[in-house]
Amino acid sequence: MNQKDFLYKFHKHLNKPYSSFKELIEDALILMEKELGVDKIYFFNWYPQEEILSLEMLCSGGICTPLQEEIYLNKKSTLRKNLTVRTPYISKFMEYTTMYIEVEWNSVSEKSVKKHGVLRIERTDKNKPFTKKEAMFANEIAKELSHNMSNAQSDQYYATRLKRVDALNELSKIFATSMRIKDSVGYILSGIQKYFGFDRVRLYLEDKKAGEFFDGISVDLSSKITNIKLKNLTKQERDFISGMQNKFNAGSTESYIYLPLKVKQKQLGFLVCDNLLSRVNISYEDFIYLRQFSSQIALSLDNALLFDKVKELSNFDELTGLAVRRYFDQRLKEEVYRSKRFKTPFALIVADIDWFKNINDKMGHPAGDWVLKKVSEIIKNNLRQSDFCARYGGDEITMLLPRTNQKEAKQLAVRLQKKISELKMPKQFFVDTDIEISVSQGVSVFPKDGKTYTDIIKKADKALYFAKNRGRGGVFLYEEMMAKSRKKGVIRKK
Amino acid sequence: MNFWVLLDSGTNTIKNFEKLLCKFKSENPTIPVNLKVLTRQDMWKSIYTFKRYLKPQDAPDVIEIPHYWTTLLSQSEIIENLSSLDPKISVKSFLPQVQAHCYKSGTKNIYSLPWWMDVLAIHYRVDHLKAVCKNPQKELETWNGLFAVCEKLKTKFKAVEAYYPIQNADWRGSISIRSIFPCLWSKGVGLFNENFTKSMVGNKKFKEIISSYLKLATNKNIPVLKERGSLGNMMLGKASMILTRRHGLDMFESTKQKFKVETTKFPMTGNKEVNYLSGINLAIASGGKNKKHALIFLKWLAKPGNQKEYAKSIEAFPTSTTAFNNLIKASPTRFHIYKEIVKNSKVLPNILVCGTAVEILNKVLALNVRDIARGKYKEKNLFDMLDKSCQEINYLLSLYKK
Repeated sequence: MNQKDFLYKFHKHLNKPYSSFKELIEDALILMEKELGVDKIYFFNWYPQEEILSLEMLCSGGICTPLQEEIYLNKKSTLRKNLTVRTPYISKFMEYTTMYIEVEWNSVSEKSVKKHGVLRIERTDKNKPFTKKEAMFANEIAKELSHNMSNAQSDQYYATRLKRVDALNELSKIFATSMRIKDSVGYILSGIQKYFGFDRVRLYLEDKKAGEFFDGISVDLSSKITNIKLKNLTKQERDFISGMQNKFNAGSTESYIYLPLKVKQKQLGFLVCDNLLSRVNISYEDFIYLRQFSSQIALSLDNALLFDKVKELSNFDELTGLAVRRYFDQRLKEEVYRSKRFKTPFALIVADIDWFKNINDKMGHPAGDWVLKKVSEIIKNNLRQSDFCARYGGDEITMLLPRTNQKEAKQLAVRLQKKISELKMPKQFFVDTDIEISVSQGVSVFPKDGKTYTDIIKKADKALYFAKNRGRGGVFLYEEMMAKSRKKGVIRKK
Repeated sequence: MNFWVLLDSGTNTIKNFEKLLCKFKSENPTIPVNLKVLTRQDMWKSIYTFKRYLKPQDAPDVIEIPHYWTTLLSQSEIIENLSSLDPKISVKSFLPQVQAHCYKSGTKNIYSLPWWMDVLAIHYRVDHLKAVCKNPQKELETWNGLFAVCEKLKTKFKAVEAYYPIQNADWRGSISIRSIFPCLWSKGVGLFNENFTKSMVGNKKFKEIISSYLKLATNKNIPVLKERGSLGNMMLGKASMILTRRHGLDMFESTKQKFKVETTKFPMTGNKEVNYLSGINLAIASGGKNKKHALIFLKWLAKPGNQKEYAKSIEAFPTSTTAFNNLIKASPTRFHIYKEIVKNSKVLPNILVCGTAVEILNKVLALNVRDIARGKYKEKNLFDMLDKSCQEINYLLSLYKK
């Protein structure tokens, strides 16, 4: 094949979409090695500012291997001078015949010279040095390679942009469909990590009252979503975040991006993405894409926060901060299912404030409210994190205690009773005399006292009623109530 | 099944693996293996993203990793728990120095198996060294001794074009932090303190030792970033020594007719002899499709016979205790010193941030080596970069603990 034909075939072969430059270079080097009849061809990337040639790949015997080698070319070096004037350079330092050729192409349409790297071509047979004709032919092939690399560069640029746009579309869908704040944030962060490939993505939310950032969610390399409690962070990370807080403009450095999230100038939180572990540089392009997206993220967050707030208001009693009856019933049903499935017990305590009507009638509703609030506070503060309580009725409070047996439930009830009895009415509410504050409590356990949620409530209620009739301020297990009742002959044994 | 490997033996990597894979194919014809070679840098970048970006058929099944990456990759769920794939899997048959790096730190779960290892030593041309030293082994025992020998050699061979006393074993032609560890450890410093809560990179001793190592380049004892051929080459008489982790058994045995090569321990900077042992392990990637085949392949590679064969082809050492001891026994006398070198060796810690710390320091060294090549190197710049690196590593330690 003559040289012209080969150049045409070479260009045609490489004129196709490649997923990376490496693939294109591989293809090109294999063809070149065969056509030029050489033993090795290396492709170097050229970094003119650092004055470094950095090896990308070697082709030898039709096999391409990625390699690492760096050569510093100062301005005075003969190699550098030859490359500058675009002349193939035959090296005198090598053990065998070596030629360097710059891979560049003069784009007439763009009126610019595109430089893509340098080839090093080696022939181990010392008796066959490169001729001038061979050097010129190699130079022509290098130009053709550069031409193809320019085309591939454009293709890859658009392919990357398309990929990013696709990613942003996908993320938009996620943002649009997530409503609850917990779900939203988790999906948002996972989506960002997936499409942008960061080591870690973290979102910190703002505490409006304190005016500082608190708590957040993080997605790490293993794609696990974890909650971040600010108090659990190390001093270094807190300092890092405080540093971020003061930077209200979005910015990026090589290994991390920080973006404030704002809706109508109101700052909701802060997004931090980093590659601190992998040290992979974050491109400016990625930063721009995310920044453009940040307002959408902020809006989605705002919606989710609002949704959660509404839900919260409908699920919680405004006076006591306890859950409302409807919500408690739902939780109780879930607990029955869970306990049946995993064969674990749970306990239900129903507490009723003694002489509550009296308090309201004699001291006024503000006094009644105060009592309700204080009793609720004591109950909330003495429950475990896994327990759940609600304002079931006017002055009735229920407590759901998962994985709790009779003994443990009674111990808690007795403890609550003692603490509540220590409450002192504020003087402002006094009319004639002080009033003692107490609660009566009935306790039932699953599955011993009942296997359905209505049964459990009924039994606890009965125990409560029994306690009330026994002089207020008492605690009775349903089982105890039954035993005492049998003794008295109130309930006849079947 | 896809097998991603590191550039174990430069341009010969593919050739060396192909021999091994042919053997595997003959014993396991139903398990085809596709090889992909990556530089260490590319492997480092790829491990973070292959689960997300690659289609399952392109993702690796078995990967070759530096052994100190095991905790990082296991914590990030990038590699599989081998103990759960095969509860009987054990690392007892491997050298004690490499066993700890098979586990996820703080657990008894095995995540990778030892494959091969190499360890830093000096090989020198006896003819060259005898021309300038009475007792080369003795004179090369200390770091100052090495420098003194280099000066004598430069004087002796000043007429030889492109001569350097020490051949640069680094493929990039640069200097890696992994070459400097024996110098640091001999003086009692390392990357981290004992509890791995703080980095020692900003420590005065640490910085001075790095600076001292770079003096090998600034004093023109070792070439950096030079065109190949002018790198100073022992075989061509353009260098007299090489500081390398490879044993060079085949290469140096072939020169027996022309010149003899001896091996000695890495020179000590302090009172302690501590050598750097670098291990390479095999792991199963969690994104791969063929975990069953991957396990069969992994266990086959880890067999003493296969380890020995592969390690020999790349002039490294097998990690199986039996294979290692047999190799020493069967080798020329020059080799026997390796038993002692391995015995007194240390490895990088298997903690989550170790890989990143090495990357950070290699970047610092690469920048400073470029400055040396340009004639613009300043010790102050090096120290400033090391201080900054220390802060970065400390921050990572606070985030990721062990």
